[in-house]
Amino acid sequence: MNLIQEAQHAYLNRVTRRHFLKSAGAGLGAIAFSALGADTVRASGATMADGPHFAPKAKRVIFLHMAGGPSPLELFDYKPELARLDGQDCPESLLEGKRFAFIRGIPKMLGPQATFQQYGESGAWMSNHLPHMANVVDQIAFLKAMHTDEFNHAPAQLLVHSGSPRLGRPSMGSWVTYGLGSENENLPAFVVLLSGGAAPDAGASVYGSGFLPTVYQGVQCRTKGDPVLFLSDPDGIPRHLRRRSIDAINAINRQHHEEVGDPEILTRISQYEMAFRMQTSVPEAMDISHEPEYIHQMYGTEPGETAFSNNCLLARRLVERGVRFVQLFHWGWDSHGAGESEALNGGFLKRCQETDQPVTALIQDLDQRGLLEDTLVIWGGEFGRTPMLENRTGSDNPYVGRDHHSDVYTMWMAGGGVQGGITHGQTDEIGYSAVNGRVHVHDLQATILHLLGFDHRRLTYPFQGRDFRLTDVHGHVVHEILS
Amino acid sequence: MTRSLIGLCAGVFFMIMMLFMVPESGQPSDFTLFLGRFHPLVVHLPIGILMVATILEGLSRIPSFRGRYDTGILALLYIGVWTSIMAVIAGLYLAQGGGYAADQLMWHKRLGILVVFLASLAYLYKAWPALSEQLFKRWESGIYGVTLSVMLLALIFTGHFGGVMTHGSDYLTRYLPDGIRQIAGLPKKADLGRLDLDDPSQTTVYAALIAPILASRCEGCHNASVQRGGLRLDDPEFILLGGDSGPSIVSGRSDESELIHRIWLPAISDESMPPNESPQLSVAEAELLRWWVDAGASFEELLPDAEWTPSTQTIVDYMGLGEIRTGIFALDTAPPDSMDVLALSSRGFAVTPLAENEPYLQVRCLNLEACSNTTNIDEVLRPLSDQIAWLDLGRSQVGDPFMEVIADLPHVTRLYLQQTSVTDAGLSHLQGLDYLEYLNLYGTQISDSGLVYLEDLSSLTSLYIWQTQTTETGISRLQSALPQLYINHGSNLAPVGSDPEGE
Repeated sequence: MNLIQEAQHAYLNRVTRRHFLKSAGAGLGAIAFSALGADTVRASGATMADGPHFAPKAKRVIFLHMAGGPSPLELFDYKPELARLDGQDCPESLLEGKRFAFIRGIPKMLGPQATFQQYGESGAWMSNHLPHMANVVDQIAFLKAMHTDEFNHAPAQLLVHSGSPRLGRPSMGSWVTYGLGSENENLPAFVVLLSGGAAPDAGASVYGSGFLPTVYQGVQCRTKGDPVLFLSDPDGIPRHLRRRSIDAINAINRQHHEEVGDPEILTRISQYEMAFRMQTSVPEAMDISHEPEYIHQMYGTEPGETAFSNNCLLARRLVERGVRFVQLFHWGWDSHGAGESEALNGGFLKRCQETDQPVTALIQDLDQRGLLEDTLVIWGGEFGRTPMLENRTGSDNPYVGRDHHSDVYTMWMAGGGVQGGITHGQTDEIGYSAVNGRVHVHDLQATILHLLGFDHRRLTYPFQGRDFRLTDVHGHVVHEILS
Repeated sequence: MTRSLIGLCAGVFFMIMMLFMVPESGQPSDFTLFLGRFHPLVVHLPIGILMVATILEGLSRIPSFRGRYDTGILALLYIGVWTSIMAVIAGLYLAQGGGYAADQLMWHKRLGILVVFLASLAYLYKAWPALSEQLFKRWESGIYGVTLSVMLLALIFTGHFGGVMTHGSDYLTRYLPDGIRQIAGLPKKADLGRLDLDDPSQTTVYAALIAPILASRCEGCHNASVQRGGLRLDDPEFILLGGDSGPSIVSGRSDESELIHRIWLPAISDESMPPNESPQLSVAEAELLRWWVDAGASFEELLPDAEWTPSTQTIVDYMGLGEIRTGIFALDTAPPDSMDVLALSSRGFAVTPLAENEPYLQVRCLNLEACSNTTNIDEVLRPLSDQIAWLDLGRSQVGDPFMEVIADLPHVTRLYLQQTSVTDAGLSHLQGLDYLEYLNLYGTQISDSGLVYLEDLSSLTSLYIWQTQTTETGISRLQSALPQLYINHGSNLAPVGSDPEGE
């Protein structure tokens, strides 16, 4: 039994009699299984759930979060009728009972700021802003009728990643690593890569471990400077000295643990060990300079910079090395039209350019390495955008934009047991509400866990007297997109 | 006394005659149906009364009680006869409403009338022993006891059939403890409502799901002996043939299929099937039938080939058919020994269960150097040879010697050999891997001559050979041998044949 398991057992024995009864009842089978589990733990440094409930389709996840809420009406959801209505007043019937983040009064409709064409054997519609992605539409399953409960960035992002719009719940990556453990003993199982100039609105909570042990929290790696802050040895401290100081600290921590029995102390000990190993493994994994030139061209990387393209390439390198969950955030999709940087005819186009080629390259690169089959790639923001024009400042604005819209938006998934070349869900003629195939954020989470081999209702963790889960009391697996 | 007796007889006669007075509509009158509803109330009077009479008569056989209850027994028999007549008449009224299984109703009716007859006989014997002596000279002493005993039996069975008709045939046994169940030869309680098939992978959808619904809900009136509406639903041939209203099903079109149309009609409709008073299909059963017709109404399709919709998936999950086991999961493989697992993991592998309650393991090379060491590797792999399903050796230094060991892992379904030193000769050892579905050889030195060894891997669905020495010739040859195989030899954006990254 390793430290983490020991911590978990100590914790459970302290808090619940049920655990004792359970382990007493499970008998020999449990003994055999815990021996198996011990190996996962040895490999990962951490796992506590009993592994997948059924044979998984996906072993790893790369979640490309387009923070800010990209407009599906300019990317995937082709609405010619909306073009016809461009500039007309929005009918009041559409506004009744709705709340928007910024739109007040009666807005005008805004036609698609893009041209569309069908691609691939599946004939998926794709806008002119994503010319590269048009090459891989047959690998993609579009969810065109996603919906969420929140219309502001931070709560909506929290809902996507932790299943709750409020702080305090573990993120999806934490749940997954809690369930599956890591496949690399020298790297964190859950890595976070940020780009786009700003961190997610909800802060580090979108990759936090909540009430799960902190070993499951996402580790942010940087592409510029030290990949992980405060990881390298200070000047003048050689590695063997660092080793000895860690040993000393751990010895003290162990003693402390024996006195007070707090399992988080064991987490801390294993973090020190992991950090020591990461001093050599992380720089190696995060160094893209040795990648061949054609790979750099494929992704369109900018070595030495903080760029989404670099992060996509890193994501591939990390999953190749057995990292379980790679979470990318690319900020800047919040196209209100209040200024150039956040306009559909401004910053939005830049975001498309920054992401189109790397995302396409990531799918193709994973595929040619045989990794796409068991790596789930997810693309999407935290909500969609209105078919109405948002004009906060008045009519003299050269920039156009749309307000936040929680009723319907597009996300897509590829690889890892997802059927390629299909579209699930349909919106009305103007992309304002769903006509069929609605998928709630909790349904998406249930589907992701399903692909990883989990019944989302059974991947739970006891906290404050009840079993918590990512999907809380909701969630239905979207069977229609499974291959 | 005589006058009241005549009154009673006249009343009974009138009530019996009412049975034959059917209104012009052909439907029984509301009044008789109303009286019929009193059958369950009235029926318990003769049951209790005749039982008490029989018990008292039994007690009278004890010498010290002899003759003590005679007056009471006589009165009880008298009341028993009349109340049982009332019960039978009310029962006949109730039966007019229809909706009861014909054979159960028949026995219930016959036995009920038998009770009336035997009770009357017993009463006559008790009231006029002299007369009976004259009639049954030779049996006079035994005939009364026999009559009472047979009456008691008939009473019990009448009651049982009545109970079965109102509460269903498993009413009595539903909560029978498993131990007694086993003695009685009934299936275990947990299996009720769930399917227990010997080999689901060899069972047709029709046999497992559709035929049982038709048998329990429809065949009562649509079978070899009774064919209401000219329809038989007990055999595929007759299901397709249909009845008086035309074919019962149109393959692939539930909206045009009479059978589906009828079962989904609201119960209030005259055309709704099963008829109102019969046990109705559950929504799950109706949904399964509709799905089956929409899916082509095949009588041959096997369960593993069925394409469930979300709703039918939920239903079959509940029935215990959710996971149809195919491939290695259909095999009877023993769980791994934890000591063997530890031994393997000490060689630098991550060894984890593929899923809970499955014997299979996923093995991944964790320490790229340690797991490349092939010394005695067969000794640690062989004990787990049946259990290893996913084997990931990617980016390690393993080569052809390791392939010899893999040849002895018959249940491998996913094999990752990318960026290893495997050569064409090593691939020859993979020929016996009947369950192999995924093979990753990207970044290895294999060539067209190695691909030839893969031609017999009929389970193989994905092959990755980017950055290898293979050529279009070898690839197209393999593709024609295995038409379903997805072969990825590099994306268009990346130049094929360049060196893999120098790691």
